[in-house]
Formats: sequence, structure tokens, C-alpha cells
Amino acid sequence: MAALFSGGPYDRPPYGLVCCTLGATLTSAAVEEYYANPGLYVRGQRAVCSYLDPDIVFTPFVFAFEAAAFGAELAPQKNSVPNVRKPPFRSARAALEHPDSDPGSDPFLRFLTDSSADCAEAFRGERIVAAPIVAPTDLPALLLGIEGWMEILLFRPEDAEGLFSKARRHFAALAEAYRSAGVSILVMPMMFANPRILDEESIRRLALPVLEAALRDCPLPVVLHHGGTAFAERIGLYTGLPNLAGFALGAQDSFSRARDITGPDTVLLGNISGPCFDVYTRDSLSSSLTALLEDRRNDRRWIFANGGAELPAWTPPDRLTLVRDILQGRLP
Amino acid sequence: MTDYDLDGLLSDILDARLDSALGRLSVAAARDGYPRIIHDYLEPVLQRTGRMWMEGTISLAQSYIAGKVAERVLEEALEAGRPGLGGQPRGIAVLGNIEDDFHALGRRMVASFLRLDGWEILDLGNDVAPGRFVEAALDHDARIIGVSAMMLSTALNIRGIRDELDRRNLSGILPMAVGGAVFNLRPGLVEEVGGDGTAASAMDAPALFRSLVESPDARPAGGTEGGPV
Repeated sequence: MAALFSGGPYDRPPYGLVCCTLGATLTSAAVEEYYANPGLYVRGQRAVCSYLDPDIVFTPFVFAFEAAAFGAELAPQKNSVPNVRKPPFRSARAALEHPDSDPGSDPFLRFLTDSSADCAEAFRGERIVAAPIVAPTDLPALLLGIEGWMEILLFRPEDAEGLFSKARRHFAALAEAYRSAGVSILVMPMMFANPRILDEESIRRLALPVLEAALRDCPLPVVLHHGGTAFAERIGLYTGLPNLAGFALGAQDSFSRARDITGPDTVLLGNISGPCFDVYTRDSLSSSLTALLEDRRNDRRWIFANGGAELPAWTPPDRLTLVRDILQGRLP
Repeated sequence: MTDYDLDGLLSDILDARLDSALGRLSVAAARDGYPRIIHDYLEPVLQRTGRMWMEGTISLAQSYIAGKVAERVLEEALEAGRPGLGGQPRGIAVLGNIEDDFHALGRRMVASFLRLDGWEILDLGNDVAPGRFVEAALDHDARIIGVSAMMLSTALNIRGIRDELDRRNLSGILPMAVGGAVFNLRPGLVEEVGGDGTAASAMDAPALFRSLVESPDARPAGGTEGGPV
């Protein structure tokens, strides 16, 4: 696996699925406690590994906690990661006047980094530990709501500039905390740098300079994640960004198209839809995965991962073992 | 007939020149009246932005600006005492984000386009329990319920509304439109949650709502024969 990211050969396609909450199901942990106790989280991920034996393990995919570090009110979910009930700020000024986040002391960020440290310790030398992180172009949406951020981004450039700076400081501090925790790689979904959300001219003018500055100083390599929308066609927008480890494509994206643009050396990850995993039958999942393997047969820089958000917590475990068996060549 | 600069208005929307777009429409409305400019100027441009969204050639931000233009023009028309929607009032639609869902942007955009189409909107906001949708629809004689959810885990809570409609024998009478990002990502989710239909974008919501209420069985919720159970 490490060979893949460093450019070396590998004997089979590596893989990882985002199974954060599924770990709670597999260990019969209450979801709210699971997302408060790093020990429970790593126990859940060990359970995931016993079924899936993945090459990549994901630390908690709980972006709401990055908002909570600024005072967001959270909405715990029965079968999923916590959500933001209410953004912490009603105005750009309030957000800008609020102290910066502190991953060393904030309990929500501590949960993220402590869970990451536990995962790094548990899986050291065996699996890549990947930490999802909010893009600095998206954090303001968590702080002010999507509509509030859209208004500022489109119509109030000075406030947008200030919020970008604040978001970059948060990103830098959290990325460094993840590095200290032993995380191998960051995964950064992009919403407000995605052509389906923001037009290309605005991305070039507003978002890319922020991402470039943030990634240049980032202490870990970063996988850019499609953020829930197709972006293979426009992947060339990002190929010049520094410190990139690769691109995670969505289920609706074409690897061939992305490969045409990136060339043969860029790592691409994806792309069966994660949120649909519970409705796949074993036959349909097997067919999709086999077709994907065939499509990527000669691609030595491809990692199988799910597209979109995490797998539903109620996904039958035999879907995980099926993925493992197909990718590890255990099936005839 | 006045030749409206549809391309100019479209360019203003796509380039986020909100003031310029509203200025064009305001000047045209002063000359021709709101009914006409909404029908002949704004709506054709909104239809084009809807098509462009479907083709993937415009962004959510550009659609958002289109929604803002629609909302502002409607406000100005109402202030002028002329709703001027170019058609008859369509009745009441109850909108809300389902229980545990807090992503309001899509719902608010849908509300803007529905208002422009002649709907009176009863917006219940975020995190609305299934029973409250149905109660509100009955209390206000609504013709349709529209439910939004962004994530799979919350979208599945919409099933509670279908259960409530079934329990009250309102299924087939009071339609339920569903929408949100996850419906575009997970085929079959509309049926899974018991929805009667969905639209790929906020701009397509008016056509969906009209088609659902024009189905043979759909009637105002409070006007069902024998009343709700």
C-alpha cells in the first residue's frame, strides 16, 4: 500500500471503504458513545478490519465536530455521524471575532485526533490510516450555514477573505495535529471548490488560491475527494495543487476520463457508491466490482474505495467480506 | 411584443450580477407590468437555467442566484400589489426538512421557485417530525407536502410521513414530493421512502408539484371525503 502512494509496484489493487459508523454496529456500541470515546471507535474499526481486511482505515468522518470546535450545536443521529443542528455564527463578523480553534484542548477535535492516534497505534505497519478533514474552502459553510457562506462568497469578498484566512489557520492546526497523531494521509472532500457547486471561473479566482496555500504548508499528503458530485471532467483544475496524494472519484465519475486528464502516475481512488452499499445484493455488488476491476486491470495507480459518504451503518457484513474476497482474489 | 434581452439576464445570473439582473427586470416591469415580465422574461430564463443545471453546465451557486432573482421579483410584485404570476393561485404546499435534517438551502430554493409559480408556501423549517407535516397539511388544507433531506440517514426518516399518510388514508390523495442531494445519488430512494416523485433541481420543483396535484386522486388535504382519520 505504501508502495502505491510512493510510486512503487503492487501485487493487487489496494482498497479501503469508509465504514466509520458501521464499526459501532459491528461492536454493538451506542452511536453517541462511539463518537465520544476513541477507545470505542478503534474497537469498531478493528471489527471492520476483521471483516474487510482493508489496506486503508478511516478515522472518524465527523465534520460536524470541526464546527463544534467553534460552538456549533450538534444533532446526534441514531445510525450515522452527528450533524450540525445549528451553525455557530449568524454573521461573518461574529465568526471572525471568535478565537481560532485549538486541536490540543477542544474536546471535539481531541476526539478526532485521539481516535486517529489510537487507530495509528492499532494498525501501525499494517494499514494506511486516513483522516478526513474539512477543506478550508468549506469550513465557513459549517460555521455560517451553506446559504450564509454562499452569500458571503458571492457578494462580500472582504468577509470571504477573512473567513478563508480563519479556515486556513484551522486547517493547518488540525492537519498538524493529525500528523502528530500518526495519520498517514488526509482526505479532503471539496464542496465549494467543486464545479457543481461553484462555477469554474469562481473556483479559479476564489477557491484554488486558498487550497494552494493550505496544501503547500500541509504536513501530510492530501487526497482530494469529489465531495458527492462528479468531477472527473474538471479534475485538471486541481492537478497543479501541491502535496496531492491523489483523487477520490465519485460513483458517477469515469476513471478513463480522469486518467486521460491526469496521466498515468496520479493515484485515483473509487468508486462504487458508499451510501448504496446496503441495497446491493451480493450478485449486483460482485458484478459491479468485477466490472470495475476489469476496467482498471492495467491501471497500477488505482485504489478501490467507495464513492460518496460512508457506508450505511446497517450494511450487511457479508458485503464487506465479498469485497475483501474479490479484491484479494479469494473467489474463483 | 417587447423583445426582452433573455441572454443578458441569463448572463447577469450566471456571473452573479444580482443588482444588474434585478435592474433589468425592474425597468421592464415598470413598463410592461409584473405579470408580463414574469411570464415572458424571467420564466424563460429560469427554464434555461434549469436545463443547464440538468446538463451540468451551471453550478449550484448560479442556481442559487437564479432563485434569489425569482424571490426578489416576487417580493417586488407583491409589494406593488400585483402578484402577477401569469396564472391562477395553485394552493398551499407544506415544505420542510425531515426530522434530524438541518440543510435548509435546497428547501428555501424550492420555496422561491414554487412561490413564483403561484404556490402559497407553509414552510415548517428544519428537523420536522413526520406527523407534523401531515397535521400542518390538514390544518391548512394543503394540496401537497414537499420534504427535503440531504443525507441517506435522514432521508429514510421520510418513511414516517408515508406511514402517517397511510394511517390516515391520505395516500393517493395528498401527494408527497421528496428531494435533496441524496435522491440524485441513490436510485430507488424515492420509492424506498414512499415518495410520490422527485425533481432533479429546485427549478424543476414547480413542474413536479403541478403534476402531482393534477393526478386524479389528489385533493386538498382538509377536503377529503369523510375527513381524515
